Amino acid sequence: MVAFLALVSKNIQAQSTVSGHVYVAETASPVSDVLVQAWPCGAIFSANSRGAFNVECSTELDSLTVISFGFTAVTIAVDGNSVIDISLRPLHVEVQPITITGEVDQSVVRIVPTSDLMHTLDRTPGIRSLDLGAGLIQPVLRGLMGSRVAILDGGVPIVGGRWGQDHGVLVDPALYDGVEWVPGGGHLWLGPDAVGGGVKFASIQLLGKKGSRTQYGTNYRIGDNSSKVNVLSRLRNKNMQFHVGFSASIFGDRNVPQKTFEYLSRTYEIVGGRLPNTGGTAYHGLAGLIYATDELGQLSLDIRWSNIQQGLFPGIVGIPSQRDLMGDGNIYSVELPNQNASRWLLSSKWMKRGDFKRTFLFSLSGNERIENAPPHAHGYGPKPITDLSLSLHEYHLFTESKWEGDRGAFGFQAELLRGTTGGWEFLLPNHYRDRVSAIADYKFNSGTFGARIDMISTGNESYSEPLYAINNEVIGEDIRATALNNVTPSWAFSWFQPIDLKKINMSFTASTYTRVPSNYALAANGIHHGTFRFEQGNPDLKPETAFEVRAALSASSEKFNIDIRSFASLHKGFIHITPTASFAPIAHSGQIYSFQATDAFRTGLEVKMNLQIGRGKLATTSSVLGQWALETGLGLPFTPPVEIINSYAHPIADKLSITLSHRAIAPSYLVARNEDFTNGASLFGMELRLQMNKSALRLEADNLFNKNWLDHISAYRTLGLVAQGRWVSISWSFDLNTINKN
Amino acid sequence: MKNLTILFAIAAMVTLFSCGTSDIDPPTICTENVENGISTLDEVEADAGTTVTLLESFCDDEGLGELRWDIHSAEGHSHEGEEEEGFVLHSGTDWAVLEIQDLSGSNADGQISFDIPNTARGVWDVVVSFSDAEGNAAADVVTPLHVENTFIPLFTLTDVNGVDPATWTEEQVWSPGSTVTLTGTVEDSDGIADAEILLIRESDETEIWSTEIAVSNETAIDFSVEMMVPSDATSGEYHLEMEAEDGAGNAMHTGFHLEVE
Repeated sequence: MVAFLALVSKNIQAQSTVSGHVYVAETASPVSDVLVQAWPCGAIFSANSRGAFNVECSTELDSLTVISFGFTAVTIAVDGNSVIDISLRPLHVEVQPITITGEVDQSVVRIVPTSDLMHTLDRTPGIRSLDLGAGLIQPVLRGLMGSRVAILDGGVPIVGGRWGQDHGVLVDPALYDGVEWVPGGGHLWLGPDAVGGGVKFASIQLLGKKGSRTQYGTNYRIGDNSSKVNVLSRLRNKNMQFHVGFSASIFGDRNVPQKTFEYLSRTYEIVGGRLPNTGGTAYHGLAGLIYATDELGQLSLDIRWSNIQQGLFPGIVGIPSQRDLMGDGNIYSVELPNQNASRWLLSSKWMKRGDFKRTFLFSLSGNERIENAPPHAHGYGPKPITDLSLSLHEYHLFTESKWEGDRGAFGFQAELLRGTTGGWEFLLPNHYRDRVSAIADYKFNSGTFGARIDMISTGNESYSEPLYAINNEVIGEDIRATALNNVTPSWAFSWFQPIDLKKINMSFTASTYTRVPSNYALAANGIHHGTFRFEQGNPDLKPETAFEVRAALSASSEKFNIDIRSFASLHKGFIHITPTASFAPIAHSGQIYSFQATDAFRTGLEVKMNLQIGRGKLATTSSVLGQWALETGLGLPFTPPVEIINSYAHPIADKLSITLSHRAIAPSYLVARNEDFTNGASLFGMELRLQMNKSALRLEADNLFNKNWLDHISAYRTLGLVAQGRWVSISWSFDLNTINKN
Repeated sequence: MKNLTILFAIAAMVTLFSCGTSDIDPPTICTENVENGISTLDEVEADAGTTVTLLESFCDDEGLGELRWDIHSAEGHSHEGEEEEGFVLHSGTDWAVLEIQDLSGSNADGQISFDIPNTARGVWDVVVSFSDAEGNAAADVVTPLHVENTFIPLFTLTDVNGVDPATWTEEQVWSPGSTVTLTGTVEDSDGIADAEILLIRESDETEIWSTEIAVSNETAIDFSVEMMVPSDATSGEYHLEMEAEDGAGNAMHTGFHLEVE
């Protein structure tokens, strides 16, 4: 802390948030339909109908570029101001078309990153995340997770065992040009699975001008003793940009303020306040290029690669003995059980402007998950001879062709997925999933109508294994999966209705859509170690249908802004996993949880408010979610409880600010069958931020008082294992931008 | 706008009127209904080589589902609310029983009979799991099953480095190069034919130290053995194993886990 404060200098002005208005220079009337691009982060924001805008960058803002049809684009230096009013002059000369790389959509919410993506997601209303270790994320959008949430890597859906609550996706936000989330279901371009919405990681964009930009970051976190370093560099000459990035992190056993826990009614001791064998390493890499000319358009090629090696908490693979939980004194060591997950992605995108903006996206990816565990037999049968308990390989091809005009867009998507499984712990057979979709949306004067028609082919191979008697003699065949081949149509229709009032922006969206059951919901049949239970698919499941309405409201003034989002959704045949009356025929595996379809209703509200008080800023975010299975009146599994986060940021010196925050999590009054009630929690946090000219130093503390609390939506909660305890993180980021903006 | 308001109202009405009510009460054990009074709620004492029958009565206000009997060695773990067993030398821990039975109606009896093998000695956990037809699961009922054994030799450790193992509260940690004195008895009514103590490294199941106890078919032998933990023993998990065979050829293995640091 002393070292941190010692770095304070009073001579440098900086700002990462700027608001203001855009108006016509001659008449002083506000300009609507304005795009504001923040530099150097490159993020694009839109002003409202009264010309008001609010931009944010994770790094220091040095300038803003303001673009509006019919006006001369201008670039304004920020010079440490937090409020800037910008005048535009009507365009009187012919200018070259300006290419804006990025998407502006009123249904998209930008996620302002911090040093830790999970931390970031947890503080975004409507989103929660599961802590799966560095480099793995599992976002929970409006109470839904896994394959019900689309995660797009530069527009490409990420696969790789997304059905598993513990199977996070392998991404590092430091190697992307921003993160956004799209709340709600029925979004045409997110695909038919995205009932909860989507999280979009933006590809590296073309620098605005010839030049280079290098972003560097490093972080150390006291608590789980994690360290991370990341670098992302891009170099552009006239037509060609090369970019390359890499990140590496190592993380130790998770610190928890807990001494004992229970698993299937057994009581265990946690030694040294750490969950043993939960440390590991994560590596992510990126290499790519963008070639752009007026004739060709913009052609990009990206290669991404990620690898995670991580220990698995011993309780995740069957009943541990107390000695399994004693640890070996090395918080970074990875013992059995463990997992190795890797992903590679080759993607190429072509984009050209003309009467229509043409986009063609092609990608091929490979996703591998290996879980190793001490060989053990469930019930009768020989003990396995290898440590490979489960392997999953999924190869995925995705293409999208899109035409975008002033009035709308149309296009096609196609994807093929081939999955193979192995290991002695059967869970899911070899499977496939193919999809073709035709998508169109059209902007009428009153609103926008969209439609998507899909044809989805899903299936799996059969699987059986020998059935043993107590003396290990084979007495029959244990059929775990039967062959399945389904071709099912799917569709989505939506209507977006903006309502632009004088001081308030409102919009309503109504959508109806279907969702075809996942391969896992159809064919799973085994112990899923990540959720500590026996999970069973149902091959008779039919597509579910939903009708959803969403409303958004935002208003802002010079010192106050508010953003409210809400939704209500009726689901016919909502597919979710629920306990049955049956027990698994395998020791230590508890009840069978099977996928069932019941009607459900979901509704929620998210509110975000900012109030400027003198030099300080008070911010409040809150989210309320309810989701019920209508036939039983019970909650759906893992419904996040009500949550409110209040924070107050105040500048201490010219470039140093402090933020104090409080996170209140309500008790989980809405629970599914056999789901335990979870008490609420009150957590305090703090952040000191030193913003320098090209770099930022940040000291963050979470769960300041090392509160012992259970995260209701975490699989670990089943074991009564609390969430991570206090951590203190110090991070430094540096952004060297030599781009020529003149 | 008016249409959307109507839409919201319809959605709310549909929700209110279609919400069902559900049975969320888990089933219970209604021991008072057991006619012969046998209950797994009590501790069970049994001898190896015998057949044990457990009987329990279950109740639910709507309808019962399934019952599972899961009987496994208690070695290496404890259960919530279970009394501390202290230091127990288990034998034949591979023996386990798993049986699932259907229950129906609002009141039903569940019964299981099993044979305890001649190789078993120590404490087993009888875990009774049961559910109702809706899938509500009751908290597991865990009952210790104490198994006595007159077939195989019995090792008793009375003193390890001057400490009674019954007073141990934590896992044993021994240092490479240290000497550990083991004092106890080994006995069997058929006489002891062989007895041996070994230190096994668990990572590769390698024997790193062993000694034989001098026997001459006595029915009870007191021993005091000085065991030298090899100075080059690598840190890690180990198992002290005690093996014996009686005059009738019945062999037994027992021991306890420890760590070398």
